[in-house]
Amino acid sequence: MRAFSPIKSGKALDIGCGIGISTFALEELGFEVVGIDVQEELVEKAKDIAKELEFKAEFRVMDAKKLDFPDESFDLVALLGNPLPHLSVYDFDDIVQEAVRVLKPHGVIFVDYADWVKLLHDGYKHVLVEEPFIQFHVSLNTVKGQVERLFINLEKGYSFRVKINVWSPWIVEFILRKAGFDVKTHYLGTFSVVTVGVKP
Amino acid sequence: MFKNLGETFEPTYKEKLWMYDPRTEVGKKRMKKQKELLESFLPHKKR
Repeated sequence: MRAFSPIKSGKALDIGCGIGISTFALEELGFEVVGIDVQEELVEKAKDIAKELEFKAEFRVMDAKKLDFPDESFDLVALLGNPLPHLSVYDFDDIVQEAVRVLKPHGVIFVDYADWVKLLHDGYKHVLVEEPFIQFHVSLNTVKGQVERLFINLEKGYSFRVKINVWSPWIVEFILRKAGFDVKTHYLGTFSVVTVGVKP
Repeated sequence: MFKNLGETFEPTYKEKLWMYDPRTEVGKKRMKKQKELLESFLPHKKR
């Protein structure tokens, strides 16, 4: 007799939902989902897509560091689609503190990200092409934990520099454990990582 | 020739928004991948 069953139902919070793709994925798995993002324009687009495709998910403009939800109101908090490069360790630490507050006992935090330390080690000098962009390594700041890359849009003829926060499993695991989660990390291929934390 | 859009990740995301749209083929594949990821690694809950 199985003592355990997979979590595929309950209430989920999708942090950094953008235009909603991860929120819709969670809904299709059976969750009742709230997607949040700090960018109002993206949240409005997510609402339009939800209406058109008849998803029931709720979308709200909200800072994940100050969640407007009661304690113990979610079964799952998800950060999907590699949102960590947008966040400093201080931002993520604040988000995890909020996640532990809004999660029910035995609730789960699910973090999907890229191992940037491995990426830097294996190929930071490589020129990457991801149409319409071509991108180059510029610098590494080990005090801030950021790499800077130069992006060039070859089709439209403009460039911009991006600062990417560097993440690796030990940092994510440390922050989750510090907040009280039981933690496990899974590698998918070389650079893609999922770290899962369970609230006791 | 180029204009500097500042220090932000936004231009890459906004330029490729169609890749994150569940109405496009690429978006549908991305969504399917996320579902598979969740199904594979969501932990099991005590009954």
